[in-house]
Amino acid sequence: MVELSLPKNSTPRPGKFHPAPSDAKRKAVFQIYRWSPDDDENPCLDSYELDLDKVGPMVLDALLYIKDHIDASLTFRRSCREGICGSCAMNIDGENTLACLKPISAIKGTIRINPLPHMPVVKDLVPNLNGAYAQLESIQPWLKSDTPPPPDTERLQSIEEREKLDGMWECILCFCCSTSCPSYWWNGDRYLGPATLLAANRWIMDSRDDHTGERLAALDDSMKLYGCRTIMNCTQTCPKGLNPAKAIANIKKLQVERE
Amino acid sequence: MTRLSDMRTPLARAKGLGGLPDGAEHWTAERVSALLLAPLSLWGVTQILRLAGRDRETILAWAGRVQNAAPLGLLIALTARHAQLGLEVIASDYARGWRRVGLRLLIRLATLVFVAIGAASLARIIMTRTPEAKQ
Repeated sequence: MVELSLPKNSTPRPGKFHPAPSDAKRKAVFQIYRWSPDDDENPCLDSYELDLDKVGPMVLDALLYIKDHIDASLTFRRSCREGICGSCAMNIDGENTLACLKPISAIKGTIRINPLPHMPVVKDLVPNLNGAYAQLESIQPWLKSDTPPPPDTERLQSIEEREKLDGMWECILCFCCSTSCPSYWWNGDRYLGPATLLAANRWIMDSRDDHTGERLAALDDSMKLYGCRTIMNCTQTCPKGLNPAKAIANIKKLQVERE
Repeated sequence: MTRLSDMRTPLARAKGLGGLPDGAEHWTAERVSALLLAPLSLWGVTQILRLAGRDRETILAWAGRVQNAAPLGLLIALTARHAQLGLEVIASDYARGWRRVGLRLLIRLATLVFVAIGAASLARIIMTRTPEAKQ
């Protein structure tokens, strides 16, 4: 539900400033959200001025440089550093994206880094995604077929049928889209969010799955699916260039066909 | 949302009380009523502008004719239905639990009152129309 006031301990205060070495030529300031569950303090915005000649090209490189050389307590998730694992999803310069795919040079002025919006924070840039994972699990994102597979071959699919899954199987579940959606901010416990609905559409459109009707029936809900108000932030923010809004529109279209 | 006393699994919380299975019907009704209202509202506004400044008798005579009373009735009914659907969406965005249930009841009651007043007014105009309008 919409909340007009911030919960306790959520207004960020100014934090420490770590200046760059005096011999640095190309400099940039990274303002990073810091919060620790270990004390009762409000979050703070620490600033780190870096010598860009010593840092790799991406925002993730800067975060790793800070952790390795300036402040080992800075906490964030990362793994593949090439936009495949979805771990380093965060809000950079006001936009949800992957730190490993965001070039530092693409941002003018201070580089502001916050955790994914409107999720409970575990620490610093690490959001708690348990609710989002549970919603994904609730749509049963796996092949469901009552037909046994052929004994000596895999389940077959035509080239045209396979093409229907393009633009959906590429999702890496970073939840940049869901956490950019105002509908998900307000009703994230009942509205499934674009990431989960894209996954739902991926299985609805799979020709090998024979539970399409059950899947659609489970989504015919005033909040789970129709909590989407077609704001389209999801499509705008997706770091993989996918179109969750189109997937949601497809599910709504099929619901009408089903009526 | 997650309180210490809430020891349900995340999946149980995500599933919650289950769905309100009127989503598709609600969504379709919203769009169909909007599509029908587009030409009807245009007609309504044109008629209001055309009749502006005329005396009461002329307007009552106009509204008493079947070719005007029928679209007028449709306009009243569809406006009420469309407003109800839209307000229900707002209620589900901003309220939940018993507050949402209460708001939905209130919205439906208000719609009913709106339609009742519209229908009664239109019926009275048709029944008491002047003789020249009957021709």
